[in-house]
Amino acid sequence: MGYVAQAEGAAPVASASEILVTDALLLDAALLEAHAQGNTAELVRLYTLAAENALATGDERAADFYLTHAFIFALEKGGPEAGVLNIRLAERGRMKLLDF
Amino acid sequence: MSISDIERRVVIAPNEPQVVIASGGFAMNEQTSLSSVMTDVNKANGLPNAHYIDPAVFDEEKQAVLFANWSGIGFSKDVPEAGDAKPITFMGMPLLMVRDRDGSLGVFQNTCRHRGMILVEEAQKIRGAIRCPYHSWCYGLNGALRATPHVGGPAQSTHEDVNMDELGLFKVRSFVWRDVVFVNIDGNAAPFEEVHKDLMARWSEFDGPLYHGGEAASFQLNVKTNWKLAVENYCESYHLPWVHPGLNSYSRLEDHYNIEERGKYSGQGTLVYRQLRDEAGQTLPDFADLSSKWDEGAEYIAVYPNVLLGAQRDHSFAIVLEPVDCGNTVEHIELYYAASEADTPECNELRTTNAKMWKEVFEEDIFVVEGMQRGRHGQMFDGGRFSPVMDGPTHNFHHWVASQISQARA
Repeated sequence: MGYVAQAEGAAPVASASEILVTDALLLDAALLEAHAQGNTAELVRLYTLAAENALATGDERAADFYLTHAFIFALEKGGPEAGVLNIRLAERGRMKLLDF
Repeated sequence: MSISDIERRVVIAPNEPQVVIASGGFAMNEQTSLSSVMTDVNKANGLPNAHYIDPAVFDEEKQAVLFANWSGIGFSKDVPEAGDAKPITFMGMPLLMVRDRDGSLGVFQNTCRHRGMILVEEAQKIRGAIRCPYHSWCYGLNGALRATPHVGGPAQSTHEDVNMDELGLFKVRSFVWRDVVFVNIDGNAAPFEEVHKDLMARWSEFDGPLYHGGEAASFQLNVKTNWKLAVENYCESYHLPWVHPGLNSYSRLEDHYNIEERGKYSGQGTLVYRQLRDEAGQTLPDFADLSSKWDEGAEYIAVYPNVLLGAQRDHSFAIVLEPVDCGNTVEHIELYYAASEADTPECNELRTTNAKMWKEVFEEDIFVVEGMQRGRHGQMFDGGRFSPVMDGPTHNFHHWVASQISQARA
C-alpha cells in the first residue's frame, strides 16, 4: 500500500487520522477494523487517504482502486462524498458520471 | 366410501388427467380433479385433500394462485421512512420492500443482478445505496443499478458490454391498500384496482387514514395448517357460536350475513358490532364520515388469495397469511385505528384491550384450522359437503382457487 512517510523531526502526531496517514501498516489495520465494524464513514475516509497516498507515490492504478472503494462506500452511506468521488473517478475514465 | 370409490369418482371427471396412486396406496393425484369443486354449493365438494397436504399441489398453487394474483406480503407501515428496507421471503421468493425518497413504496426481487446474491438480509435503513455484500454492485432506492466496481477489470468500473441501464433490480408489481402490500409476482394479473374494484368501492367509506395501533397491535401466530384453511375459517360465520361462544351473548348466528362475490371475494358481516368500552364508558374514536350502516355493522372479508381484512367503525385489522409449506402458515396480524397513539393517548388502554381480545379470538380458531389440516390426512375424506346456506363464502373461495388452477392448467 502506498503511503506518505512521516518527515523526520516532524512534530508528534496529534490525532488518529494523522497516524493513519503516515503509517501504511496502521492504515491497513484501521481499514481492516473499519471493515470488521462495518463503519462505512471510516471506510470512505481511509480509502480516500489510501488513494491520496498512492497518488503521492505516483501509483495511479492503486489510487483508482482505492478511490473506487471509497466511492462505493460513500455511495452506500449517502452524503456528499459520493458525488465528489464519482466526479474524480469519471474524470479519470474509471466510471460514468452519475446524477446525485 | 372406500378409497377405490374416491379414485373412481375423481377419474370420471371429463377432460381431466387420470389420477395416479402414490406408493403406500394414497390417492395422490398428478393433477387433482376440480370439477366437483366448481359446481353449485348445494352439490359441491371442497377442494381435495391433496390441496392441503401434497407438496406438489402446494407448488402448483404457488404459481397458479399466489404468484398469478395479488398476494399480500407485508405492511406499508413496516417501511415508514425514506430508505427503510425490509426483506421478505414469500413462498421462497426473496423480496425487498423499499421506501423511496419520493415516498413511494417499491418491491424488488432481493437478488443482485450480478451473481444472484441476496442483497439485504435484515430490515434496515438504506442511507445511500443498496450495496451487494459480494462484489459491491450498488442499487438506488428505485432499484436502478448505480455502480459496478471493477467490472471492467481492477479500478475500471465500466465495461461496454455491461449496460447498467438494463440491469436494475427486478421490480415486482405492487399495490398498497389498507396498509397491506400486495404483489403480483408473475406480472400478468389485471391491475389491482381493476381486480378489486368492487371491494374497494364496498369499503370506500373507510378510505381515510389508518393509524397503526403500535406494538400491542402487531402479532403473529404460527399455525400448523395449510394457508387456505385459515381463509376458509375466516370467511364463514357458521362456526362462531361453537368456536367463539363468547359472542353468543350479543352476537347470534342470525345477526350475521354471508358475503360472497363469485370470482372476487367472500366473507361475513355482522349487524350487531358492539364497540369496546372502558369502565368510564369511553370508546375508541370512529373513522370519519361513516354512514349509519356501520353504527352496528362490521364486515370481515377475505381478499383472495391470502389477505383477511376486518372493518369496524372504530378500528380495522389486516391479516397476511404467509404460507410456509403445505401444513404450516404464519398469520401476520396488524390492528389499525382512526386516530394515532400520539393524538389519543387516553385510548391506549382500550387499544391494548382490543388487541388482546382479537388475539384471543384468533387463537380460538387455531385448534379448528389445525384439526381440519390433520383431518385432511384422512384418505377417505372427499373434500367435504357444504351447508348450502352457511358455507357459501367458503365454497366461493374454493371455486375461485379451483378456477385459478384450472386456468393455469389449460
